[in-house]
Amino acid sequence: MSAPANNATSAATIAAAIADTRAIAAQAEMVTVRKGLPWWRLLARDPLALCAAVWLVLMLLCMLAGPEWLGKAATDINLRARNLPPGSTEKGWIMFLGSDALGRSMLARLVVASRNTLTVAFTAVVVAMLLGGVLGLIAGYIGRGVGNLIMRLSDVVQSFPSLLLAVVVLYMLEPRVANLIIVLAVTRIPSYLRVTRAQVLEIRERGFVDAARAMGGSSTHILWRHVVPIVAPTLLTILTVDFAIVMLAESGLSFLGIGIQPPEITWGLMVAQGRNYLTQAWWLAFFPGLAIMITTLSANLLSNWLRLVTDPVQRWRLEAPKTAVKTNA
Amino acid sequence: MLPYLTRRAVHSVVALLGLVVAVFFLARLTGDPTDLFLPLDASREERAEFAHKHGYDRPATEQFVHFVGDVMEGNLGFSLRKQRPAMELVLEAYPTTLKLAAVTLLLGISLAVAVGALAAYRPGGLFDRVGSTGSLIGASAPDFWVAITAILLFSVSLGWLPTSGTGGFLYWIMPVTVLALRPFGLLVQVVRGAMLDALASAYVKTARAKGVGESSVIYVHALRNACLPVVTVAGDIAVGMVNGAVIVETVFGWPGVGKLMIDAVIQRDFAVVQASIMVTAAAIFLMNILIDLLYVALDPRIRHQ
Amino acid sequence: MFRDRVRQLGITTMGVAALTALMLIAPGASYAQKTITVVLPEEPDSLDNCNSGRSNVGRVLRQNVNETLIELDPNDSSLKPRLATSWKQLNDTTWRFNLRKGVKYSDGKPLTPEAIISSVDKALNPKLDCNTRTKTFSGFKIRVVKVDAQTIDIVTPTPDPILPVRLTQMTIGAANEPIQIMNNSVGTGPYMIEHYKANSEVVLKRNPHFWGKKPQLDGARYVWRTESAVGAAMVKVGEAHIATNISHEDAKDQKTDFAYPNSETNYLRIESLVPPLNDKRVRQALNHAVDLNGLHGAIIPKQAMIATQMVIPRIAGHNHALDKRRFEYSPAKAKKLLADAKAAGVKVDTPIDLICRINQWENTTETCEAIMAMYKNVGLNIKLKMLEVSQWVQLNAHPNKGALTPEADANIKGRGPILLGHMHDNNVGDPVFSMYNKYGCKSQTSSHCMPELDKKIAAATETPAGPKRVKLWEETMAMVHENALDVFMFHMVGFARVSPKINFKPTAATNSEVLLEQITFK
Repeated sequence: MSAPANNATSAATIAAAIADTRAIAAQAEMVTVRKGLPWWRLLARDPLALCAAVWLVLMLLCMLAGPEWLGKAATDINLRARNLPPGSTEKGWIMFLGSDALGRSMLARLVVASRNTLTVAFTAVVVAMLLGGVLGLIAGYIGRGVGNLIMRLSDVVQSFPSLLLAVVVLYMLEPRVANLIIVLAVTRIPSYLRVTRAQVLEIRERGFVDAARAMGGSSTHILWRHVVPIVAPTLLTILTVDFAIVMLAESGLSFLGIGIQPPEITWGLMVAQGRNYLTQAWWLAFFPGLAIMITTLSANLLSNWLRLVTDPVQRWRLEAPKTAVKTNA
Repeated sequence: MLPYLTRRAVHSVVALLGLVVAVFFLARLTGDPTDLFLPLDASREERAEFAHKHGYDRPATEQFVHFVGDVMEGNLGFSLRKQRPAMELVLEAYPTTLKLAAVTLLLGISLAVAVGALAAYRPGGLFDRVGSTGSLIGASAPDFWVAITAILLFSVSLGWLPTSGTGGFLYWIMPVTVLALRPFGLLVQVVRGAMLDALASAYVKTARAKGVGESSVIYVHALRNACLPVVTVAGDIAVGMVNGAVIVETVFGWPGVGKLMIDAVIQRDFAVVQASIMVTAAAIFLMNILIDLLYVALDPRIRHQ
Repeated sequence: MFRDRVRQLGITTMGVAALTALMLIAPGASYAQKTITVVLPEEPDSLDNCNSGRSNVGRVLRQNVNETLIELDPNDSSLKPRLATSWKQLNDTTWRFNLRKGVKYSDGKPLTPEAIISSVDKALNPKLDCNTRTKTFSGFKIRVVKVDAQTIDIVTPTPDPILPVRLTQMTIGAANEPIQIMNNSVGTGPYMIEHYKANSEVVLKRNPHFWGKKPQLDGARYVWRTESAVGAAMVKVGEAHIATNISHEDAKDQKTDFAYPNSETNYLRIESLVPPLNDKRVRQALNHAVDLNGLHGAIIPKQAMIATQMVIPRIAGHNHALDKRRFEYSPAKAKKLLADAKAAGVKVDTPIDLICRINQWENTTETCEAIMAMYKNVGLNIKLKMLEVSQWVQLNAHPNKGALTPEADANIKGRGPILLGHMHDNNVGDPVFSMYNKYGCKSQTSSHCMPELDKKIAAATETPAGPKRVKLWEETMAMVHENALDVFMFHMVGFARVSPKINFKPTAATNSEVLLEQITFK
């Protein structure tokens, strides 16, 4: 592979060329197009990415205000309204998604649970990516003693059953959110570490890295400017899928009696609790599962979109009109 | 190559020993099996006698010395629950895990590469949208939910497949599909991402300019250069699978090492925890060596120190 | 709705399903025709008769492969002869048993007094941790003495008026078994182990030497599925004939699903020696505050029975009068009692932990969440904690007994008062297996100590079986109730799905044994 700088220039030329043809057709937009469309315009052009962004903003709001807003509805038990199917309206909009085995509003519980769920999943995944990424950079770039040590430690962590780790941490300490994050993050680190290291091993043999080294670039400079940008997209891709994996891992822990327990709520816990009702009240496990799914999808769609926007080679796909995409693909 | 392998093997054995020691002590921090094993109403004397007989009343360090002595004699301990040699239990369960993992990986990886590559060929296109969204939905669905719904649909309502258990081809369909969903979803994303990079690169353009056919461009030129992250992530998934697949094992009645290990952790059956970790860790270490060798095979520029 | 659609599909394709299932799947097809498949919730830990008290072992072995001297009728707790045809008490510590004639093990060897001695010795050997010893003969080493070829005496270390009841829990294995836990128990029952494939199945076949009436079934195959929905599905599509222990939620088909009382009683164990729980009014308030009727039929199956005491109705000693004098659900009364206690200086605002164990009974979490809400409703400062089994058993084994807590017990340091969600299983048939352990001052797992109650329990324990013993037990139950020592909830039920092709009625014993000899094809 040649240096990305070349790619960037050639792509920029193409993009500019396309922009020029567009500009002839749409004089009024010329200035903005030349500078590149602002991000919200780009977002508006990709309806799926837009939906994803809207959902994530919605989740953010639920996370910030959910427990204060619907906290009472999420914990009020009403045994006469148990297992109401979705679409029930006689108890008001709050029961729109049905009620659980204790007659609590599913909607309210989903909203309230978003805080714990997203805090745990986001923090765990990001911490794992940062730690794994940095250790992977070190292991791949420096190699030798330190690198070997890091890799063998990573093998150990990978071989250590996550359940045992969870039992150890949550048994010794309280099953609190912070401790759960530690457990989930530690078990995910090796994935990021290995992926980063593998790519660094390859990248550091490329011509431009040698060139940068020859020009006296420091290691941190080379890593940060030349290596990280190439590794980051893959890590981000894994990160978005990991979102789901971490939320479901948390569900598994709850089911076994480790991890977060009632009266706290997470989507994972709701999925675990709904397990007994799969044949009788499918919505108990379905909606929290759906929430996990949509959030993961949104994160993924948005990160793919972000990747297109930030990648000079690909950005034209968003900026160009649909017909151009077809002819150029 | 040989010196590298020797060094790597030595390092791995040291790490493995460290792991076993860590597991030994950490497991003992999670509580004494006495109360779990004896009937709920057992008397104080009986609890004391049981703990003494099995050494749980002694400090962990002393238990460790005892354990090392036993291992020297080739005795890896007895399962408290099953009263059988722990290693025997692990080796009984492991073939199931390996079989399931092998079939699932083979299927999952090849499908994911095909779908991911095609999706990257036209990002934002219909196939990309359907393929990558569909695979993500599969990856983010709770697996027990998918498993049980599949049984209710394909076995109970449609009657096409057996509900569970082991046997011929039909028995493999649901477990393998459910198990493959997550790796497939993750891999499709990774393949797609790596392919996007590769397709935009200079050598693909060169290949195209030379008039190489499109399918050859995708599957030979681009894929070859996209395979490094794919191999790493696939390796990571494979490593996860040799650790067992609890949900599929329990739902479909294919008890492998995953269920064995979970039960052992929950029941504080320390000997079984240790034995299963020894086996799975050895497999994982071996696998990581193979993956690292694969890097060199795929890209000769990569050197291993 | 999804469920409806699934059901619709189910109806239209049922015929196809059954046919395909038969042709492609039915693993039973490779076995003799009169063979059934039973789905158990878990794999047997071993197949050794000395562990038959463990339900996962007992369900396969008990009375099928290994028989007991005396059999307990699950319906009325009466005693029936099995390997012993009759018995009588010679003196305080000696009992005489006449053995059944012509009994042979499945390997053709005769059942002799020597074989029984050897089998009992193994079960009670302290080198092994056999469940028979740790559960029923804990600290109680009986000795078997041969009188003649058909007669044995059993000598107990201390007088035991209910030895015959105890013996219903001891299955008899072969002579001179190795002193280790085995997977190939040999016995005198109607069936014998054909093979055991770890992680997969156990197959029983007919014992050609069985002494009794030839049962209809040729054999049985046992498989295990942890997930209740899968076991239920297996019976539904014809892959299996019986699925024991399916969940309440999966047991909605009235034609095939049976509820049976499973001898389990759930309750909240109150630490009655720790303030503020040492105040009777507070304990009464705890009882009045729980709306059992609200839970009944909602979270707890409607076939369950609201409990007022530790043992189930069929056990002689259950106080039937108490069932009519339940603590009524009345938050007002509870509030009043708490107010009175507070006025008398009791610190009713002390934080109390309500601790339950994940999956101890079906819907444990929901039950405990509901109870927490009910307690909050009457103004108690209550906090719910759900624990996994290992942490829970430690709390169970180390109750805070206030001043009576042994010095050495570091487990209770810094612990506040606890209400421990609990489930007691007395399938043996006499309250002695419940009352001492739960209420005795010296019992490891009792959180209570009332000297009068202690005396009453001791008196009942020593009294020979009969109306006097029953009456004494009834009085202990009443005493527990009067002092509101615990919060009793339900005598629970289990569910089994039975194929319409066979005759099998689950009983109170189905949790611990599945009697193949009683099963017939229609």
